[in-house]
Amino acid sequence: MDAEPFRIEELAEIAALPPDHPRRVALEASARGRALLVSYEAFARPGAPPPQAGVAQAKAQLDARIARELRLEPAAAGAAEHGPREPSARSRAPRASGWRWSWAGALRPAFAAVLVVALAGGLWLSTRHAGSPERIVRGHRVGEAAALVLLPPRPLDHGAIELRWQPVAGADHYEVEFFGPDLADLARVPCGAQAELRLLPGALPAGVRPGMSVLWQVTARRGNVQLAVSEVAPLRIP
Amino acid sequence: MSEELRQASDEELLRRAKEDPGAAGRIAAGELLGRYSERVYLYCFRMVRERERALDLAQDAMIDALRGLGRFEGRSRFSSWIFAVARNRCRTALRPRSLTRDEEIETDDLPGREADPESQWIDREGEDALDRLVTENLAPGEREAIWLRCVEGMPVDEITRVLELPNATGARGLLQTARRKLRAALERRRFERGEGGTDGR
Repeated sequence: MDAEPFRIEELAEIAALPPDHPRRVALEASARGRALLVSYEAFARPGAPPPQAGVAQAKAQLDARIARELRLEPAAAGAAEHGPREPSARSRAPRASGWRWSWAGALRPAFAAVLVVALAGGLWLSTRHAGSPERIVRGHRVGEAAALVLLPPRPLDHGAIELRWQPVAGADHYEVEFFGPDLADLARVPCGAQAELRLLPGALPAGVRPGMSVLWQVTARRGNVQLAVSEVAPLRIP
Repeated sequence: MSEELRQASDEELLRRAKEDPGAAGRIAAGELLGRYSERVYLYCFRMVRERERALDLAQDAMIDALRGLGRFEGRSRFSSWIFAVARNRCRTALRPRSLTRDEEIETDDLPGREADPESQWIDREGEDALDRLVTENLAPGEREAIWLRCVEGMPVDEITRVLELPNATGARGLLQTARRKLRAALERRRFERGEGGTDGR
């Protein structure tokens, strides 16, 4: 193919130039350049999608696929509830046989250890909550329950940290549970109606110490009724 | 996903993705690609107008982009780079359209490339020669329409949309006019070269 008067990778930069800028004028002088610019602008500003495109679901599938390619939990990559797009046999394959090979080489040992514990904890807790009619695992719907989604902990001044989650409609109080690496109960902290819990270095819940790697999980309740349970997430106590 | 990552620029996410081979780098790569997954899909959908096929193309493009991140030098904006990746995927999958024959029946769902005389001509002469031919013989709107249709593979109704054509016939009218002019131009070219005759179309 002939040498190009511009590179396609420059399109975003050229599209941002005023119409009379020499680079843009030069690009638009050719049918090819003008067509590519139109095509790029349609990509960058696609407008309202056709209803039959099913954009939200497609995006969720793509994000999940990318998350899996990156060996991330979908929640970490911002993927939604939909599964990845590959054959279900592959996407549902148990991690036990293959994941150690792929993860262990890429992850830092400490982070890998925390994830191992988190996965084991998730399995254990899913069994533990199996009797609950409204069970949430990793922020995804199970049955008809509403999702409780954990938000990334927010570091505060003086070594404090704020645990946060999305409020659950109808919940009048929350409870945060901490588990140790051996899955033992460490602490259970009632939080009232606020969707947050601040951990202060000098006032940690009994059983939780600075520097510990723990797992945490939030349960939303209305009265004695459990509305939702969050994923189990790893946390390093500052 | 942390708020910090959500607010980070594409360039910052790219830097983290390339510099950190661990989980943090991969999370940054996931955030970066996630910003574009919807646009990539929608672009593919508008090119092929079929959900499953668009998803296949978009997925291939996203995986291409992911695997190519390490080679992307960051000299241009990420948005145009990933556009180029998606465009390449679509162009490979779409059958090029005839430069001179009118399309009475839209057959965009046919996979693969068909080596019609115009495609062979483009492959042989290059896009610069095609650009000259189009520029010398067509009005501006016709140039864009024929290029988008025949080289980019864009569907006719999508060309109508992106060129914001107000008339009822949309891009179809422009394409018919453009093809009539190109047939005449190619005929003149053959005559001037002493090749004579018509191609029977």
